[in-house]
Amino acid sequence: MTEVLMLQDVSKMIGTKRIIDQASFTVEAGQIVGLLGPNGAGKTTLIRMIVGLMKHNTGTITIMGHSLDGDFKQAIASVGAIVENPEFYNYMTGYENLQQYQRMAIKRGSTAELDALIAQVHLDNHIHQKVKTYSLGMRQRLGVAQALIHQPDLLVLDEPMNGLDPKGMREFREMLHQLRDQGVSVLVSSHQLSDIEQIADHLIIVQKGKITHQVAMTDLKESHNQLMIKTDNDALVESLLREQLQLEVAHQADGLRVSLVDDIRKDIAVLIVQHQIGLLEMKLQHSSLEDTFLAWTEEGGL
Amino acid sequence: MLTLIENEWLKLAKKKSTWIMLGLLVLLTFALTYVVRIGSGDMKANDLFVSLSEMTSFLNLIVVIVAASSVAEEFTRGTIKFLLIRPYKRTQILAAKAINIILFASLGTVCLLLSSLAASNLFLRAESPLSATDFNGLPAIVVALVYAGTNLLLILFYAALTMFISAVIRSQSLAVGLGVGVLFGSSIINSLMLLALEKYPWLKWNPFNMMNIRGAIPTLLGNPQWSMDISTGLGYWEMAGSLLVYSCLIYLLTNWLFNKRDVALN
Repeated sequence: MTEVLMLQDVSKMIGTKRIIDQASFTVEAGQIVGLLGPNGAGKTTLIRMIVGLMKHNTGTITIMGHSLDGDFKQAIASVGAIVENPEFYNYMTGYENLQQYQRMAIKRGSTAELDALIAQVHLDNHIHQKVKTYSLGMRQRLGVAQALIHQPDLLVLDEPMNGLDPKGMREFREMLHQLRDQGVSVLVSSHQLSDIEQIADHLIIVQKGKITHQVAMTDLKESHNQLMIKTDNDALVESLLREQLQLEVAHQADGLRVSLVDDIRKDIAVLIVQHQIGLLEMKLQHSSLEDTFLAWTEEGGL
Repeated sequence: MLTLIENEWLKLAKKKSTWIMLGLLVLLTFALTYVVRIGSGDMKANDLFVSLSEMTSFLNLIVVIVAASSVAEEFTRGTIKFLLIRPYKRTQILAAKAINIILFASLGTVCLLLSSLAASNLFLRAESPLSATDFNGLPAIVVALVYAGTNLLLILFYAALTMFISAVIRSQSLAVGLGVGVLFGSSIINSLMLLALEKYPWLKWNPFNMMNIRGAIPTLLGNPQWSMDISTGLGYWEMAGSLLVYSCLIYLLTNWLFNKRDVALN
């Protein structure tokens, strides 16, 4: 896979305060990466640095192989972004606003392409009205069109789900998946896991300016099935599970905990019974992503 | 680069207020000329036309407002976020704004020249703009053009200063207010400076002294009795050169700041 975006040891100081501390991560081609963290963790600062609105003090940011410091034009030409709320020139029509950005693209698209994009974001009926008459939803869709107008390889979205209703959320999700199918990589930030757990392939968790966890969504989902086992001889069961089934076992006061990838409850039960151990309780615990996320953010001392 | 200038021009042209201000410039020129007619009906048209009906300050006011909006409005609205994430250097984006302001100032100057010519010939004793004046026998149109060109130098200075203020404070209303404040306040500062000029002769090089450049035009054009009674200690070309140098320095400072500062709204 090729790297669309790569951050290496990126730090940002404001005065003497280090608000981003040695952040490193990558977004690979065709990925949708969620940047998750509580408010004030540094998500927007990271995003502002990636799109060149803020300058980083140390480290490198590379977009499609071009360094943001050394080769700003080439690097930024591959990025489309909405940082915070989409803002437009209210006294111009949506169409005129988009034309402004279309003219600024290195490869200027045609009128037909512009019309197709407008249709894609469902703004055909309103595009020739002044932007000051637009609703929030329409502004957001115009913002998306603005971000896609130069056919970027990377789409950067800062808290795009804020203020969307459930229908808007679903449309937004479908749009991102559609874009990914077209080969666009996406970096999307949010402070709510529920916003991006159905969208992202990868999660990057930011806390207090540091990246604390990076995980593929599939791994995260797998790590969720935990088996709780209580017997009258936990110590013996622990060694049996380790030796005979090669499982990772955590011995806790109230019993044993085993992380399951495949459902092998039957094998475990048979093993215990064969050794004449009294099986008191066996329960599959399915913790939600939310629990894991909360556990992680609490580890970070929030 | 032409693309950026085109974009800036469209942003300006699509705004109603731009045209309202230019309309007001024309309207006020006519109104002022009519007032002059009531005061002294037998005045010759060219007497008023050569100094552009004394309406240059109003033109400068409009340009200051446009310059302040051009930079600060992007920050106030938040559109700067979409502007700076395009494949252009910040230096280019600022330069496009500066060039656009100069284009607008030139358009305003042409409007003023034409309306001053039309109004003075309509309300006062009509004269050909080519007829000779007290200014060394130069045709009136030439004298008017010298006044207009000199005023463009002043505009350059005011515009550079206003862009600088806008890049520093990034608030549209405050930038417009401060810009206008400088425009009118500079004459007050200047008159205070003039008092100190005798004691510290080097003070004649302070930027506010250059605001008196209009007063040096009659001497330049061989009509010293029209000169204002201000001893600036500098000749026309010294002031013109200084205005250019000061404008460039302020612009370079603005450019440095515009490139350096992070854009972190709210």
